[in-house]
Amino acid sequence: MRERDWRNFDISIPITLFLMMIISWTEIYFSTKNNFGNTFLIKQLIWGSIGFLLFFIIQFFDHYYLNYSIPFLYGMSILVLISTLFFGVEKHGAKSWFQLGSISIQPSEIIKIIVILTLAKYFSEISVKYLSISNILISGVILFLPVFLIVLQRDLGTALTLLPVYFSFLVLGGLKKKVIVISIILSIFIGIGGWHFLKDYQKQRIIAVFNPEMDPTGINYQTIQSVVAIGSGGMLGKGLGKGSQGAMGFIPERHTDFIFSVIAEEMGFVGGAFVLLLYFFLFYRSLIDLFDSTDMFRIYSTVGFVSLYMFHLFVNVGMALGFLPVIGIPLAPISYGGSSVISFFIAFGIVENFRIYKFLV
Amino acid sequence: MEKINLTVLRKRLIILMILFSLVFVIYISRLWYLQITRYEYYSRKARENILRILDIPAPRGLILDRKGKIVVDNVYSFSLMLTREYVRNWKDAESVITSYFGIEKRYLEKKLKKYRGVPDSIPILLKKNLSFGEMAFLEAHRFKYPFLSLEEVPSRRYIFGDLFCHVIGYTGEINLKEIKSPKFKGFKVGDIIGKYGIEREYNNVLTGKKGKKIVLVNSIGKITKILKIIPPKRGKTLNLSIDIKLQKAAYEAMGDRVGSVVAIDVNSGGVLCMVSKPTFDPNALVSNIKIKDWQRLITDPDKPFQNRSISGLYSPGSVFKILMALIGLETGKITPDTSFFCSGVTEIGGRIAHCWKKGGHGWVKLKDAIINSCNIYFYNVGIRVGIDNIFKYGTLVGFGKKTGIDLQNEKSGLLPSREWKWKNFHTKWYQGETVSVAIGQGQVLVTPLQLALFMAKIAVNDSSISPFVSYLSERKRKNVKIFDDDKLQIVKNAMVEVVERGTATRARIKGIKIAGKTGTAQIIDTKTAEKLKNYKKKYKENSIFACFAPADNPQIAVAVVVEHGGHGGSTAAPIARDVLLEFFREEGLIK
Repeated sequence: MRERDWRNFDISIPITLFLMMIISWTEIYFSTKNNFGNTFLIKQLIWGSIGFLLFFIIQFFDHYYLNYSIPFLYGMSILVLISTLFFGVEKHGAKSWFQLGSISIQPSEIIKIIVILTLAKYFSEISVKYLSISNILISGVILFLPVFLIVLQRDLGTALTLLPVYFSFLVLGGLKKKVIVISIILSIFIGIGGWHFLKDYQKQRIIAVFNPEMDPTGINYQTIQSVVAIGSGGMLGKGLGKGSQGAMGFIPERHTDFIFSVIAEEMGFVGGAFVLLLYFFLFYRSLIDLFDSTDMFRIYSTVGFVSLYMFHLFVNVGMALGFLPVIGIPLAPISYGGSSVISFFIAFGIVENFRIYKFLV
Repeated sequence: MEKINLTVLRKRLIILMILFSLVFVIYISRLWYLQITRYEYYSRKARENILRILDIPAPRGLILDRKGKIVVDNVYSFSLMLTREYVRNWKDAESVITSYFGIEKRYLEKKLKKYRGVPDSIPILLKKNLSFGEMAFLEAHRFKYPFLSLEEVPSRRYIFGDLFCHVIGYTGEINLKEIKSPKFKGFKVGDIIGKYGIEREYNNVLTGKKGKKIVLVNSIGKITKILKIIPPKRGKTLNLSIDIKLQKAAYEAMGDRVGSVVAIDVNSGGVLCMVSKPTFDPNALVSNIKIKDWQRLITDPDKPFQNRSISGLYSPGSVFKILMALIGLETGKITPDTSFFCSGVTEIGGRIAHCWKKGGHGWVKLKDAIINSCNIYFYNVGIRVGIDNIFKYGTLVGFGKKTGIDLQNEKSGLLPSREWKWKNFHTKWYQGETVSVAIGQGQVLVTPLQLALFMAKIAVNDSSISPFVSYLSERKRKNVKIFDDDKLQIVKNAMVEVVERGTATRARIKGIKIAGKTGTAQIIDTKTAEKLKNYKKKYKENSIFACFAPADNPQIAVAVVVEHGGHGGSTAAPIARDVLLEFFREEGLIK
């Protein structure tokens, strides 16, 4: 049996999330007020509030039941993804949105959470020292069925974020040397195959990173401008709403994909490093608790969520810092966007939940 | 199989944590490197090489007349641009703008207010067509006034000036009200849109696609490097059904009179000419019009901005008798041989009614009643057919409703009915009112376009003709007959005689059979007019003439309304003649 023990509730997690949202609300307001007034701010305020509400609601349910309902949730997710293909609406080039009145939601963002939980359940129930080929194949099917459907919606960014989660699970699950060699060869093939799935502009962006001098004027200017913006921020930044680069609109997606550049420009090194440390703290607190846990489902789920958002940060901030190509992956939950804010809160709500419900020994 | 133990799992977890921590270490180091180590470099770069994406305005589409002649095109002119982000002292900026470039302070303030909320880096157009002196001044003071710059922008040129103004309209910067309207979705502050006429109606067709210029600018706004140019695309070309020669003929024939001329191609419904007087100069409106001049234009009592052809409402006068004759014959209430006695005055429908001819016409039959425009004859026809028939057939020939032409602000006019009377006055319809309506007076009101359309519809006996100005709005005729052909022919013959020997002899053209009818619509009733000692111009009747030609093979329908022009035969008919002359000369039917 388990019981709920509120003494284990880690208040520093919601505080960290709240600080992230404060930064999100501030910069979304200052980077969109000129052109859009406060419409974006209000929406993000609503999403953030819903996120917190969900975070606390989750604490009242035992994740034991969650574990049981996973096969059902997974099945539902597949159905939702298929129906999105037929009834979804296209936005930003991806047909991965559902329109409900004036708000549009992206089911794939929430489904990511369910896919991670499903994989976590599968891996946690194997309990062998090294994964067998059939283990890899079965987990591969669990992963690639939804990933394939998401790719069909032309939402490559979301599909991409699930792969590092799988990578973490394989590391955790343990691979024999033989399997590692085979998977390297396999991933090369998948990489080449995936290249053909990319749109021309996505290919060009990737080429541009490896060869920035090739086209300094066109594709890569967003990266160059982002680096200039960050660099010119200095130690303390230019002040809120005063970033000459950000506020002048050098980048169309400054409240979503490039929000980190705006933060670093306007709040300086202090602000940029603070944001990174917030993430570091959140991830560290989530993982460090696993060392005295025996709940395999908990270990895999937590590692899965941290890997997912670690990858978000890796790509998004890496792009702003000029390391990586411009790929539309948001810096959840700071970037503007309802679905990604909500899934972030759900994920870390579940992580918190694992702390509160423990086996009675 | 070997079972997993937690120690192994924890080891692997540590590997992942190290990997993750590495990312943080690298990213924070990079952040330090960019923001602290290279701060000087990047802050200089940010100051000096600010990347800007500037819009390149696109020229609007050309407008051509029926024969493919260009009537509206674009010219590029050097314009004064203001970029607010480089203004250090607004007082100085204001004084240089107002004193050197003659821009009114009020105008400048209005502009700035409009651009509130638009990023300061977006340039604002202040003045077009700069003189050489002004351009030289700008170049010489480039560093003193970095907020002012020179740019070549396209603007509209109305080649024929005010000749077409009401049809073609004019363009201007979008205002705050228009930005919110769904018609101009996607347009931004500073964009040029069609404000009136065809320019507005077909704004989305004529608007081109803006180009983009990605440039690096230095700290005083000077472009240091052009990185990429995406050229703008001109809007689509628009073909009009207007014939410029006819338009000119009508325009000149109207002279300084106030009123309207409309001609329609009876086979397609295409408008051949549409003149409304007085006019305004669209070229003045698209360049630097002064607030004072604008105020004067919009407060002018003669309303130069009103397109009288589609929104001027007039009593049709005796032209309406043509409809009455047709209804009488169609409903069988009269025959060509039905005759009434005209003594010049009669008691009918419960009141005393006069004929325009004091002594009366004596016994008249239908044909002579039309030729001589006898009022008393048509009073009787009105009583016989009744208001319900007038409303039914009047609607069929297009009165009392919008024609649906592709121009805005069209008025529907008024064709009274029992229902209308009840709805608006809560009283029943009186026969005395039918009597007034029967001679085109009373409540009935029409636009000149409706009159021309009426002529076109009876010329080809088809109620489905719909008028248009641009071929994009052309609709196919469905051949919906209104009247019996033989009965219609009787009236047409009478209309020919109106021109041959009746009230409209001044419209006659040798070799062409014209079917027409004059109208002289009273503004006030005769008794009041007699009482007024000074018979002022503003009480003089409106002069009306409507016709189609050639009578046996109709091609063109014309309607002319001259406000306070007096008798229809003496003022309006000769104007219609000029239009017809030009038309048949072009067709090669006369020399």
